[in-house]
Amino acid sequence: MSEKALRWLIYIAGIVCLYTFLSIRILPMFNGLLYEKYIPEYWENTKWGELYYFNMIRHFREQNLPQYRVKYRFTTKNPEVGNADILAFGDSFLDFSRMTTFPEKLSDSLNESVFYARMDRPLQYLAEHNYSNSGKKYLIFETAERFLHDRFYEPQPSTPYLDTRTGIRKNLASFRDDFIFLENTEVLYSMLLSRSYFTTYIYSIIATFKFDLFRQITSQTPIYSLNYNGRPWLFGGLQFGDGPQGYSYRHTEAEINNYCDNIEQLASDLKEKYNLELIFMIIPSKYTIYHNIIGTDDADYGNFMPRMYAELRKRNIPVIDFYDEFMTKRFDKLLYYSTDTHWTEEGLNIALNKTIQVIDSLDNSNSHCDIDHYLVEQ
Amino acid sequence: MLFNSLEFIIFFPIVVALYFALNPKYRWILLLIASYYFYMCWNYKYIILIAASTIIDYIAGICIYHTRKKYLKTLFLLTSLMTNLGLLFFFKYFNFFGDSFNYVFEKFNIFYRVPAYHFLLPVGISFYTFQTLSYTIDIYKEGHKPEYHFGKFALFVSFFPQLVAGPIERSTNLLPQFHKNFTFDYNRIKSGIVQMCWGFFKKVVIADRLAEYVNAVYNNASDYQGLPLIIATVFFAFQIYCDFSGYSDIAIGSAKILGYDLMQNFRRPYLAVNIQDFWRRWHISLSTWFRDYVYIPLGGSRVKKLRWHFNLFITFLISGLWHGAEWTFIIWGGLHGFFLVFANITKKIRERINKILGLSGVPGLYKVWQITITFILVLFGWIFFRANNTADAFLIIKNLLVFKGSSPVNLFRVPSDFTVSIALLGLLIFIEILEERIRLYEKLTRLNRPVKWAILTVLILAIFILGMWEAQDFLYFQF
Repeated sequence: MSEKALRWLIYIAGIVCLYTFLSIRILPMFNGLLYEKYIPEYWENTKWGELYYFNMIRHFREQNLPQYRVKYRFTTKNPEVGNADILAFGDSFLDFSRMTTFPEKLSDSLNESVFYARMDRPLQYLAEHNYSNSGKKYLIFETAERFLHDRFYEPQPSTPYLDTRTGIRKNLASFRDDFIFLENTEVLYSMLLSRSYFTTYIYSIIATFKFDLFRQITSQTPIYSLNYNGRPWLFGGLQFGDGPQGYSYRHTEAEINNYCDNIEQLASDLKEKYNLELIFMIIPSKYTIYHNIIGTDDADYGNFMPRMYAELRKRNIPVIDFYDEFMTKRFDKLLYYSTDTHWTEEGLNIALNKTIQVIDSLDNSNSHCDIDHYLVEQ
Repeated sequence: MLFNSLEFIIFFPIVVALYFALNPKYRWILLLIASYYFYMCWNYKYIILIAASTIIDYIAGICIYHTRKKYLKTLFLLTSLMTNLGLLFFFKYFNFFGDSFNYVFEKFNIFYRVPAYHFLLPVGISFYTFQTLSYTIDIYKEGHKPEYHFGKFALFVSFFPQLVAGPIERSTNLLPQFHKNFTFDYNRIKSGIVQMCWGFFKKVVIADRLAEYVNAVYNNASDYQGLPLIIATVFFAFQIYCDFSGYSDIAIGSAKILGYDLMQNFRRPYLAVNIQDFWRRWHISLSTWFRDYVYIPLGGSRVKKLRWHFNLFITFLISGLWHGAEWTFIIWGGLHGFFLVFANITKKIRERINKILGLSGVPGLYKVWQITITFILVLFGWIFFRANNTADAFLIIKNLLVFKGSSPVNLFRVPSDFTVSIALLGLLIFIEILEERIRLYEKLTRLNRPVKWAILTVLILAIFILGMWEAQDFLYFQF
């Protein structure tokens, strides 16, 4: 290679890298490179659960998955928080858009307007949106099992989040955070590397080669089965392990009580401030239900969900408990996608029916209704 | 920003392209901005510490040089020393000493507790504070001329290739280079690229692969005995070497591409024939720093024997403390100090034994023997360096020669992982021995073009295919 060629190579590499540098900061440039476009608040919530995209190992690519739908919360069907009959707060399980989402189905089943926000701090949200007491309503709070610790190891904040910065200070700070020193730079670059037109193919080949040779797989999906019941299985990182989010973690009585104290405090605040009755729903981790696939014994489970439900019931907090039903039906039906952390429509329907039953039993005015009319066929 | 991150792989070509496109007169501005950006990507708030250190040392340097009164010179030097060592002490050692004092207070029923502060340890603080300290000390002691160009001095403190993990440069080597105008040098850039690739290979292919095994064993020290412990310790020796020398190679290579020469930091340390030789080859920029600014000021070897041994021991004890605010590091430093003192004391006896055994008559065998013994001593030290705490370190030593339990291969995901790890170590050792005997890079440059390109292509492919690309911190970042 001549000196001139090397000089030009350096300039070209510089320009390509400059484009990449800017593209993770400017959405249209970013999407210009991506094989599947990034849509803020949409893409990440559907794809981040799709574990194949973390490792790009071809053996885990599931075929014939349902297409994405527009998320309920972005449709006009999602009412204003003040106008809804039922409020639902939760994480990506209620927002998972490979199918009609939980709030939408609940709304259709009960023929009532269901507001949904992807949010785990309802008190803060209601305060920020000046929600006022408009009669007794239900608030369904959903949390994935593995996130319960993070959400309730301390009391939930009830005051609105206030950004004290104003004017130019605020603009400069957001320019700094959104343009100069992005927090998730490495994630965005790796997304480009694994998903851009130019690199996705070769990236996938290398990832598959490394897996075949060394069983090397990203720490985001370290547990897997290549073939169980004719399909590959992937499990997300936090769901097992020894941490308080993990399958085999043995929570102490004090820890369970602490979570329940904080949930009880949330229920009491919602009741007092807004006349909202809390209904609590924990969605078991996929690993909790399907751990047998990779050879983990049922007895290894720290029994977190049954213990939580027992304690919440003792405190008269209504719960949507479908853990036993999931465990019974887990091998009859596919309750979770095998390469995704989220539930399938089968799993969602079980939860939905339980929710309808709980609401029915709570709502005396509905007691004259025939509950079977509302239940979804499983 | 980590070298083994996509962020750096995008950042560096932009800097290089802009650097060569710019008028040489203004290149220092680009490098200064790039260096500050490089550091601020980790935590932009902590740049204030580098800025503070830069301003104080810049002023102190000029004042020391221009003041005629000795006590004023000393006062300015002390300002520089107290600022840099104060920052280092506060962020790195305060909690360690606080905890240690609290432990003593508790033992003696004294009801006072030193408060703890939970600050993030600023990355690279041990490196850039030492670099600026040497600048002011050199002006004070040697009468070196200070740097008057504030921008170039700021660049000397923050030059991104060596900012967070060295090599710890001397002002006499690096500062004058910022005043030169480098032209585009084909051979230099080529050699820089090759050195960077070799650094990446050592880091992501060898060190990070070995790290998986080492972490599995050392993080569960009580679960293992015998062979797995021995293998993990040997692997750690190569992990830390490949990790740190890999970092240094990337640093030196990237600076070389830009036209700057950084000092060599490693010279095949595991081929050292004794501990003294090891320290001439391991982390050279730090060991020479301690030699020049701690050991020699203490009197070095030109004092009474007992004092000489004390000087040696104390220098290594401080060096251990420099590596981390943990007792394990202090013991590691102390061990190396002890090895050196012991070697000095027993020098004559060992020479006599060698004579009796006739080892000196077979120089090849004798050298292998010396290298092996040195390596074993170094390995023993690494146990303290890597162990999570002193209790773990002693447990590992206790169980090191208890041979039962699981096969070491079981700790790998698949046997091929073990095979590849061993093969990589074999390759590394082979290259190190070759480099000890011949100037390998020069030999490679003399090969014909297709062979050279084939070697470089294989190296790059190995980095991508065999590399562990989930960015793991460089071990020396924590120091």
